[in-house]
Amino acid sequence: MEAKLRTLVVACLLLICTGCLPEGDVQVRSLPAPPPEQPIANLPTQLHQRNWTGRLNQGSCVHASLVNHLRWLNEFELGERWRATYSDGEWDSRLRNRLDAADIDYSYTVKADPRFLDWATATRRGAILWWKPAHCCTFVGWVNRDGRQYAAILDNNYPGRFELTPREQFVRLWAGYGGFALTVMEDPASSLPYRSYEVIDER
Amino acid sequence: MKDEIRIRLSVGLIVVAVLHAVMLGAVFTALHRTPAANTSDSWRLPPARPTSEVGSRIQQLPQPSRVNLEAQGELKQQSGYCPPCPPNTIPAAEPHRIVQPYRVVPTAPTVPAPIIVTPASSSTRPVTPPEQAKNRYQIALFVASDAKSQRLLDWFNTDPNLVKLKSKCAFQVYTESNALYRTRYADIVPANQFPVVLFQDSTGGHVHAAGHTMLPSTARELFDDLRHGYELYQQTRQAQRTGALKTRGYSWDAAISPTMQLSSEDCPDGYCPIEPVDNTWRPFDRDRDGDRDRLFDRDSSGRNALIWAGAGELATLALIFVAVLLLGFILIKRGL
Repeated sequence: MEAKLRTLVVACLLLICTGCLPEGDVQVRSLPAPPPEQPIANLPTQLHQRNWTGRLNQGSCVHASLVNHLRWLNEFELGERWRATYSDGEWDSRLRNRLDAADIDYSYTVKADPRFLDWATATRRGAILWWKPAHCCTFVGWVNRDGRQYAAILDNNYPGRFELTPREQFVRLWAGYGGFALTVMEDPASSLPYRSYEVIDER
Repeated sequence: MKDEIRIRLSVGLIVVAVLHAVMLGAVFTALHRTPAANTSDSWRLPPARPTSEVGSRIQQLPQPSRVNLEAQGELKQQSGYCPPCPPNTIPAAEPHRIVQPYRVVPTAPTVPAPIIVTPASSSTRPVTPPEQAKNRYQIALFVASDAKSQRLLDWFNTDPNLVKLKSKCAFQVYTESNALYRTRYADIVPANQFPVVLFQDSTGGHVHAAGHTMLPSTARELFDDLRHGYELYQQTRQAQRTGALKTRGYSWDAAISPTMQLSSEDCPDGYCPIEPVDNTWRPFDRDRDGDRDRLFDRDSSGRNALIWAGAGELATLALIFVAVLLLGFILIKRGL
């Protein structure tokens, strides 16, 4: 009788223990990260929009800058629609009115606050801003070089390259050109992916 | 004779119990499928590679010292198109190329009082080094026109967990014909691996990557895979921050003063370039910033506690319970 009881107790324990698999710990190791992409809003040169002349024979630098900005935000359809709709010169309040009319959310400054550009860089969006006399360009982020920080600018009159200006000088110049900058509140293009960690032991 | 029959029944019962145990073990093992971490030989993310420098020449231009209100509201219409332009030169404003600007009267008083531009930091260094200020996660879907791709898109539009996760991350969808895909990602994410889910930090460091055959069959499994990748990633990286979106047409100037210390509540999408300056933070210090910064809910579907068991686990436990009841009933009937 005791043998049968033991057998049954063992069978019960076997049933109860079934399925109690331990969670395996996974050990991971960090892999080296590449240098940060510079500029942070690194719109491929093939996608740089060149300035164009509108029906009033004015340059469309604001709209070209915005198209570049929208392309970086992966808003190609919106950018093409904007390009087909608007041209010639533009000023800040009308641009914002048009963005409002198009139901496009944005953030802006008219005080040449460099922290706005810090934020535009940190969020990887970039911005459009008043840069050079009677001109508008696309700010594509701060660039670090030789221990200094430079503003990287995509000038729609000179697509295919980025122009660098030292930060403090850039801020003063930006103020001189009106201090306006604007960022559309959409998610930027994804970063270039790389393997950031690897599994070294799965127990 | 009677005892012999009883003994045979007991042995048979044990055999049945063993079979039952084996089957339960198989079911439970299948339910505890752990996402494979980067073991696919068909497609792997590339290792880190150096990036090329941009720009080759530093410009030196004259320096006004304050916001130029006259220039602020003027018509911006420069057209310096001059192909072929000499490389790396400052575009000179040629008089015959420039349409003379004219004064535009704004429809509403949008020009604020003039201020002297005084950066928050008096030094020439940036307010915060950019490498400290990359605090967002990204989800990128690379999809084709097949049913599997469509199902993946549907998951991110309908599954509550994935929708919530998507809202906390920068989210993009790329197709093979997308211009950004062709120019930036085609070499890294081959189109024959579509659909692909990339979950990464703002530097591009992968948190989880799965493509084609490695994609799970349900939204729930994909969410679990993403969370599992996030937990692994968190073992090697510090916690990150996300935030809520501010109102539309956000005016940086109205909300932020020049000397203001920025916090997440002050910035347009809850995310500021300035990080906490103290150095008390340590890796694995996940709860420092509270619930706001947690990408995944802590209690949604953890696997290490009975109360969080999924439906499959609960079914297994119920089967075990029924088996124990059955054995107990037999023992009682036999008078043991």
